[in-house]
Amino acid sequence: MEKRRKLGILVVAVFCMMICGFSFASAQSKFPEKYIEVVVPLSPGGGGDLSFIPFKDRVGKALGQPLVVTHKPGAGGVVGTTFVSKAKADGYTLLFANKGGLISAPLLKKGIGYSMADFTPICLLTRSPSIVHVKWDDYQSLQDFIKAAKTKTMKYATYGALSVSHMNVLWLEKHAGFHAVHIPSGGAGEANVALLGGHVDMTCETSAGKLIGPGKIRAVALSSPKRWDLYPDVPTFAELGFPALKGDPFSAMYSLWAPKGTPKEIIDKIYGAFKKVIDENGEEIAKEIRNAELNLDFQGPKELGEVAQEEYGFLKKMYEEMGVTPK
Amino acid sequence: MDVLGHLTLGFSVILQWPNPGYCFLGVLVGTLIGVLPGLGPVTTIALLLPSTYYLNDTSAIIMLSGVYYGAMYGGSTTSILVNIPGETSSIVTCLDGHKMALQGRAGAALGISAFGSLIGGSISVAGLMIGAGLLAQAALRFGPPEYFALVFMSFSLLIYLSSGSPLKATIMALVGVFLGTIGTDFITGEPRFTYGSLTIMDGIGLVPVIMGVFGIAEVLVNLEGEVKRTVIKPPKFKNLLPNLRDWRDSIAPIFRGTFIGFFLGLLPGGGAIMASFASYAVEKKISKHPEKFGHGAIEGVAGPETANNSAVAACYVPLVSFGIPANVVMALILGALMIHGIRPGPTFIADNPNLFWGVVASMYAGNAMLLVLNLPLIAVWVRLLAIPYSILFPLILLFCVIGVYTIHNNIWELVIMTIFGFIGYMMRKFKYEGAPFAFALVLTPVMENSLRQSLLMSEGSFGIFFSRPIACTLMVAGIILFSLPAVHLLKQRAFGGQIRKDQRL
Repeated sequence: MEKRRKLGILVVAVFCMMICGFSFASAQSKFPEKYIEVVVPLSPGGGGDLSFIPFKDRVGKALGQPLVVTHKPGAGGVVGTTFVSKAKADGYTLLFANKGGLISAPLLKKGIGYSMADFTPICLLTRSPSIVHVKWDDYQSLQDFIKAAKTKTMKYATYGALSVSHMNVLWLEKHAGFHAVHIPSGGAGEANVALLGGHVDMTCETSAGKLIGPGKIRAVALSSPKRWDLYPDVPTFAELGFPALKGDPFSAMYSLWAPKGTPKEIIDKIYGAFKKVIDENGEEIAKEIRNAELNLDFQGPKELGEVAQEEYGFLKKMYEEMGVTPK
Repeated sequence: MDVLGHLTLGFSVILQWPNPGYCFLGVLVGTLIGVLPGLGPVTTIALLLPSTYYLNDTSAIIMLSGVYYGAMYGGSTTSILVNIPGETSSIVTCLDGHKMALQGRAGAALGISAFGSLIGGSISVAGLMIGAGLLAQAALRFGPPEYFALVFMSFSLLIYLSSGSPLKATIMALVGVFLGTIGTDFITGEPRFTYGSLTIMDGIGLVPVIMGVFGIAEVLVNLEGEVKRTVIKPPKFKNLLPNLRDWRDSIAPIFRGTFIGFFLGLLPGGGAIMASFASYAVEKKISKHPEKFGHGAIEGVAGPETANNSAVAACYVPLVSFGIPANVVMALILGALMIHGIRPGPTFIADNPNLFWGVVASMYAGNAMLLVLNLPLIAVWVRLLAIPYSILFPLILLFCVIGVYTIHNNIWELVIMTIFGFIGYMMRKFKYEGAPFAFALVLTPVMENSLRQSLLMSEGSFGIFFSRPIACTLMVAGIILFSLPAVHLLKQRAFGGQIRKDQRL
């Protein structure tokens, strides 16, 4: 019994030392020393996942530690973004931000508890244009649709009230001088389905992919400054006479951020790993992202910070013009 | 349309290792999580999604599909044995299934549930095979007005879910409607009744509420009695399977359930949830002895359980025809497909014959595996009821807590569950039933959103519900169903008959 007891105490002591050993690990000396958690504030299987997956394993290998994705959906991205805003700024918890949670939410919702200033940018990954769709048989171009919209009331669907896609249509209305009725739909795919079924006349949101074709849906305009190779025949808003905008504020943007106060060396290290992966596997990654109907647009921390600020300013102005205040 | 040839292709895919292994793994995991209250196919598939990245696409979808319909099989087990729904769609099974268990007929209930699920699952897969394209076209015609009309009609059926006072059932339904409005307004983006709480900004979660009202409350009610007792006495062996009489009573509900489940499952957005309770309501309505429902009528188990499995196959139709997910689980499966670089659209079946027909064949194989898995397990499950309740109830509570927490890792949802646990307990004491409440809670967002979308489309005119053929039919059916009890009552009074006891408010 004596011997067993001694053995037991020895085991417990070793165990305690192991636990203490883990918590003494210094975060900065040799980052990363354990896995890095990347929080995706959306439900699994969406555009966020598809933007990140080509990078996940490759960057993990470049950094020497795996990247682990945790989904924390809710309130359009607010739940996950809040979580990271409160996390320790040691580089082991990162935010894979969607525009709704990071940029729109602080403008629309009161009492959120964070703002963009609570995060440090790391890199931009994908920026995919918003696309205007109409039914194939009804209209050949955006101009046709606008002409019709001026004579009778049209209905359009987006993926949510006050969403970026809704703002996009309001912007089009303002500059083209028409007005249509907004029918908010449930989610990214549902608006295009409503269009396919003929329940609405136009949608403006993410790519409809396989639904495009004769008898079905036609893409008529893109929100990006330049044409997209996925839709070579579709003109941009700028080409159609709308005011040229800096960047693409109506795009669906997915980017990586860290909590404010994360040391610069760590940010640089993470960005460096992403850059290395892009330099080495750029072609493959671009292809995978293109397959997911998204647009690769890799930029570094400084550029990301600027883009985010610009878009924030743009959306803020739009909301103010509409008289929308945080609720 | 060379269905037989395609099916042969499918079976050749499913029989290729490692696919049978993944199919079995999927259905096994599905059954287990279906049995555990709180844990559901959504959470499980979400957890498994990243690991499917390392599998090939066919194996991945076969496994995830197996989890989905396996969960439908498993969900009935806890409903019948301990009156706690394993799945939202199993709430209805609690009504009669548990009563059957208390009468010593748990085996029959479990057996009929398993067989019904097999039959429903198989026939609906056939429907998927044959009619995917056509059915999808029909489903496209369902816009907001049609959805509203459908849900309106479903609300009229809610009353049939209760076996007690219709007035109390209506009150419960209205409470469910109120709670269903909590959250962020869909059309304007404004938060309603959220008091700034992030947790309920997307609405009060369905799972915490159901686990509270049906799970915690059930435990609380049972704790009033002798804690050392067992739920029921262990049955004799020959009661473990449904007898001939059970089969005779169940065969028609099973076929009706298959069709109801299939057609409702086709509709994107919550059709499958309506499947089980629509089946229950229909069975009760056309039964020759409706008063037996709620007290152990096997039709009330056979129909709904078949319907919810049948709905599973139907859910795939919008996905493989247009790439539209019919519900959250389908959205996850869509995610799995996209991770593998497949973007489903109208040409999905033609572009990916191995995948599609392989999955179809795997559904047949999976359903068969589930039957083989579940039947012998009935004896095991029934033994569970012989465990003293003092040991059983902490386990039940533990699983409820784990189940709710794993959804969003949010401790406030546990608080919600506890609050609704007490509310549910009060409801039991005052004889208010949970089923109308739960379904009203689920259906209200769909109803409200489709109503407002429809009115936006028609610029305020209610005529839109009657100018479109499908919507008009459903609305008229709903109006008729709503007024039937009143008409019946008036008729009786007019002819001077005595009002039957069960018709009193």
